[in-house]
Amino acid sequence: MSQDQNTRKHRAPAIRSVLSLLIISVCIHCLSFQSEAGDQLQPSQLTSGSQMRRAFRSVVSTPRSWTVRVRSNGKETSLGAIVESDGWILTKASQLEGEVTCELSTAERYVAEIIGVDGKLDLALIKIDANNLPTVKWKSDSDPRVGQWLVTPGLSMSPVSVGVLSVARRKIDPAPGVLGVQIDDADGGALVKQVMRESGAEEAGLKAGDVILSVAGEEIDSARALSNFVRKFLPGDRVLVKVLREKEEVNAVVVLTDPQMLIYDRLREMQKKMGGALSRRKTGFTEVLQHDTVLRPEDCGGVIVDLQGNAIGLNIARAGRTKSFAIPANHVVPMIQKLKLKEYAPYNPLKDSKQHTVSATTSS
Amino acid sequence: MLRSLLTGALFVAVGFYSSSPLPAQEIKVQKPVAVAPATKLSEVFLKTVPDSLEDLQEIERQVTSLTRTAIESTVSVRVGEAQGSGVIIDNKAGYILTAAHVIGLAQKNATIILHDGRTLKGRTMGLNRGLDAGLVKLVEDNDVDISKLTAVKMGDVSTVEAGEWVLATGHPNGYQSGRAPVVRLGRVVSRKKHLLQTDCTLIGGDSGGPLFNMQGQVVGIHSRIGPSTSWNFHIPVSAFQDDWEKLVSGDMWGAKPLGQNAVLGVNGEDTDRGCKVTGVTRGFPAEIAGLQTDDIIIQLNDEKITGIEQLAEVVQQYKPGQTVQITLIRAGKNMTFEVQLAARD
Repeated sequence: MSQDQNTRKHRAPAIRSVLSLLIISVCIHCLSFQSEAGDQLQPSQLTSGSQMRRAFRSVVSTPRSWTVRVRSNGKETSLGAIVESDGWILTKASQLEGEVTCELSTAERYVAEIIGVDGKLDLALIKIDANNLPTVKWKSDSDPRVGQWLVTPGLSMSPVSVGVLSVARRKIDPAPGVLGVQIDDADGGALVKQVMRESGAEEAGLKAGDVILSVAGEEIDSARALSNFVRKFLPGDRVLVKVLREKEEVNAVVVLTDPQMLIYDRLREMQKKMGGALSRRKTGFTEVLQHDTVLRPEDCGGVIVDLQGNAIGLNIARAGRTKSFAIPANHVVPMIQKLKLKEYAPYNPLKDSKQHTVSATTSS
Repeated sequence: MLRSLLTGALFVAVGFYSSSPLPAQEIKVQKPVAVAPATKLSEVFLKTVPDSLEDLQEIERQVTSLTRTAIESTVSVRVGEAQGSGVIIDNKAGYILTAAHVIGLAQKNATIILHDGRTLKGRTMGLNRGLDAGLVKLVEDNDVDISKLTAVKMGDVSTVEAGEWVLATGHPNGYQSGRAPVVRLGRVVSRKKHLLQTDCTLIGGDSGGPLFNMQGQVVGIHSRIGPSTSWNFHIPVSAFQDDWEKLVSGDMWGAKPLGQNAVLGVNGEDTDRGCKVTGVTRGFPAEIAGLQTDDIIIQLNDEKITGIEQLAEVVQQYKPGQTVQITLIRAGKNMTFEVQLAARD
């Protein structure tokens, strides 16, 4: 640059004009670069970006105090909603396993006991030893209108995500649960020919060559009997599977999988991944409010509120790239007392034999 | 500047192509492309981000005032095996905007399902395969009075800016009885000449559905998606406005039919040395061959690679299934990979 300036002092005007042209083109370049940068929305300004969520802080200032972070064996599994001040909390049932803890918006942590589970709505009532907690303010007299903001509080000042109501309430038919194995008839059971990738069977350690003897206490005598029995359960349900492996009986708890998740097809596989992880259990709900909030599966289980900060429902599933489901408040509220009265005891696949999870008896 | 390689993005719905085009019939029409007058919107719509409860309430008021018309004008479009969405923009002639990859060919029978489940017959008109714009015309029906259907106007996409609030409707995962067209709210991420990007999440079945501005005018038609939930791409309505007569007369033009276009599956950016890979799409040829983020692609067969868009053009010279040699720089070393190109579908 200094060289250019030197030359300009001594050279003819023609060069000067070339130089000024150069400067102009550089400016244009700067301008166009600037406008291009401004033409791209910053990630923080996306609908669920951090700057956008900040605008919703006053909406969740109270709702976040009703919200807890639920962990199973130390791992984040869901959010929960404090429904009664002496430590009663609702959350998503199919995520719970092992030791359950709750963290409040005050950062206090408690160990929780699972009191009741309703498989139909995939709700669990858990109890922590605490008092005088702030409780959810439900709004169940009318639904929000399509297009209305729906806000998902977490423990922080800003909500975890925001969206709008996409579809008025409707029923979501159940998908059958599967173990995720290819089977054949065997003596006294069903032979596992192959374990499918990313299935509950794979996760539970089932192996090719295993002979399945019983599922949830029901004796299995053929491949057909196995598939007929298992399809009565929903994806996300846990079942105790007894298998014969190298002449020894082995028990495994298998979380049933949505068969849709197992179809190996490149495009479907890609679409499944396009938008992040989905909930294990995302079908078979009496009624849901579908909204477009981009949620992590572990951010389901807590309340979803309108702009007035009223809880219009409980987030129950991340069901696809474009959709999340909430159970409307009028279905959630009556369940609290039922679950409290232990009408729906939690099902323990390792202890309870010959008993379906509640979802099995209520699904069609 | 990070640019997404279009061929790396996945098409939202799968088009279905067969047989050769039939001669288009001649139809005289009025051009329904006059831009509707814009009404003044609240100040909040000019803000980079809303910053108060009042702002959010104002957005909510405007959005909820638009949803009914948006839903009622949205249709399901079925042509052969392909299923997508569309929007009624003219209830006199019965024109429906959709995506080219949903209708595939001109002069095909289409099935149109209205928002409330009523079914009508339609006929595919012209399509611009390059931009993915397609037109359908409703066929007169004894039971349904087409002139009573809700139609919406097209807006002026040249005024659309990043950050603008937009509403998407469509039939994600295909038409489902008992479920009205599904509403999503989002913002414009960027506007390029032939492509709008928003964070209104789309999925297969949404293709061809409308993107509305806050005046309730159609500014885009859903076309394709990428892996991130903010990668949703829409054809600007200018693609229809600029070539309205051609579309109405049943012309087919633009790139080769989809499925014949080769794809590599990388995102990249331009650098001095070549195209720097910023992402490989899972399951696509680049990933399968072992290409990685931060590789700098410098050559494809005999052609020198200078940037992402030029790479896309070079890839287009090949057919799906062909194997090409890609030379790249990784950690300072030159390496060559054999990559079998896949079809974009």
